Amino acid sequence: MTSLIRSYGDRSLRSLVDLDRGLVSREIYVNEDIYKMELEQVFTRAWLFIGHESQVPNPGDFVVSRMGEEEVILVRDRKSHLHVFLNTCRHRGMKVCRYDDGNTLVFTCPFHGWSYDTDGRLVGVPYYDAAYKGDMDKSEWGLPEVAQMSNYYGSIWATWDRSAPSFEDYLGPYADTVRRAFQSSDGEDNGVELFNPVYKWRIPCNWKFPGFSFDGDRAHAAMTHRSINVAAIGPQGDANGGSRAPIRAPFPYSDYEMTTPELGHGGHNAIYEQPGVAPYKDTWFTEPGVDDYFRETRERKREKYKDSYIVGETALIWPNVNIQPHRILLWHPHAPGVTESWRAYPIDRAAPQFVKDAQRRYMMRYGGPCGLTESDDMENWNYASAASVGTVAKRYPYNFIMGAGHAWTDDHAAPGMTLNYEVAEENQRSRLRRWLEFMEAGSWDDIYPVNPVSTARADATKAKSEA
Amino acid sequence: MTDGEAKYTEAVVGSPITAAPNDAVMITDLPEGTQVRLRNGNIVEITANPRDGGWIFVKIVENANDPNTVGDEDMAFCVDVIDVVKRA
Ligand code: FES
Ligand SMILES: [Fe+2]
Repeated sequence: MTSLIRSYGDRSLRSLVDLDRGLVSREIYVNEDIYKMELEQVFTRAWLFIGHESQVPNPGDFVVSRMGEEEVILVRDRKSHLHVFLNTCRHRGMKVCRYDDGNTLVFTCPFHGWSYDTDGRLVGVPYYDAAYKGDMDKSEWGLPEVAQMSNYYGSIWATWDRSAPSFEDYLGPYADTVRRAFQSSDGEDNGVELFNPVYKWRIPCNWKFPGFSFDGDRAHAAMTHRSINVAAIGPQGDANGGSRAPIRAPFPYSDYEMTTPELGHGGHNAIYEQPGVAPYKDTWFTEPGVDDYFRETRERKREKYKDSYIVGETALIWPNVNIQPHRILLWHPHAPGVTESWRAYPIDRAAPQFVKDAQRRYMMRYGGPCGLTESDDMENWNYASAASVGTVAKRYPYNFIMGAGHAWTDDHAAPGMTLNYEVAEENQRSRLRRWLEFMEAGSWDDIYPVNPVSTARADATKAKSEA
Repeated sequence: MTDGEAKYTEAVVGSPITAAPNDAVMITDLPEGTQVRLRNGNIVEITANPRDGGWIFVKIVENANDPNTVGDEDMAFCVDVIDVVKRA
């Protein structure tokens, strides 16, 4: 394998990502050196989605999650504090937790028996007095804990980087979107729980294929999802043309690709032309009683938000998680050409069981490894990856030209956002730009609050839109 | 070889060097409240059992060498639990 990267901070990556012309070398999706550098430069720095507090309601509850390639444990300790630890013993590295989830008093390593309390302290070492003879201070050998953890309205996020900005600052204009994604359907904060277990499966493609295109590739839907768009997997069955999306009442809005180029987040987001929330329209024709529940919660939400303009209901939060109402999509890097996909589904914690079941059935039909929509997507990501590794194939860059140079800003309707036509590749370019910044950065000082490069570009775009 | 290990080997059949003697009690399913004897002679009561087969949380009930420790909380490793003296 050709070594492309000479050292961290090497600027040669820039020659592979030409965002002004919309040309991106396939190398960054297939090259092993670049992949390894991503694990260091992106995944030990960025805030990553870990899970939800509903997965660990009681002291001792734990669930295993991932940060990059590595397993971490989200655990509630005896005093009810949440922690995120690397799942590795400090003695010789064995996984201290080999279950996906459960409840425990301690994590006892199956190798030599070191035992860690749920707050991460090393509390048990076999033969401690007889064999170590006081040479080892147990307090220095606890489980490695993340540098920062945030419980954001019930959702748990973490970073290995002490100098990363606060999670809310990291989200920037998308903070509100993430907050709302964890509200119940009546608009109450921290109102959901996740279905257990989380769906997990591996697909043969680079993590950036799904990670950078979700909520940034509307152009694929007409072709890729042509069949599922009429296959009646939606809650309304074959009413409404068999659409996969629920029926919604009309509400005046315009749809855009929106992104925060200096932070890397973005979504397909609406700007509403009037304040408030659309009235409810029945859609659960295949599941009796469910509409009654959602109609009633919608009325409460409408009352609560009658004066608010809502911007941004979905978002790809840099680098690898897509947050939507009822769906959280995660793409963990596993190898240059292998991605571990996770799907977590939030549902109103207070909903009656039959509503939760109905929502779960809909999500199972829709997403995940056997859901029909994402089966369509996986075909494309997987075969595009396979057709991009060849020596000749790599001579041909990917084309990210769609909408380049046609973005604008709207400080009144969508402060902090860059907008483009609803079918564009603005969000993908935005993620690639942020990717480049992370890959080149020596520390968070170089990439927050904004990288001078992206600031200059954003200013140029703005100037163009005002001209 | 330390004294402790020498003692263990006497109890092990067909395995000359090991720190996992066969005279230890299986602790995995011992309920809280059970009193057990440790290899050092102490009697302790199980206060919590993670049921991982490795460790139990205990409270010291008898310590002939240092009676001041009675009531102290500690952890005991599986190979050091050699007898059940009182069932819960
Ligand atoms: S590797 Fe965990 S106790 Fe040795
Ligand atoms: Fe062995």
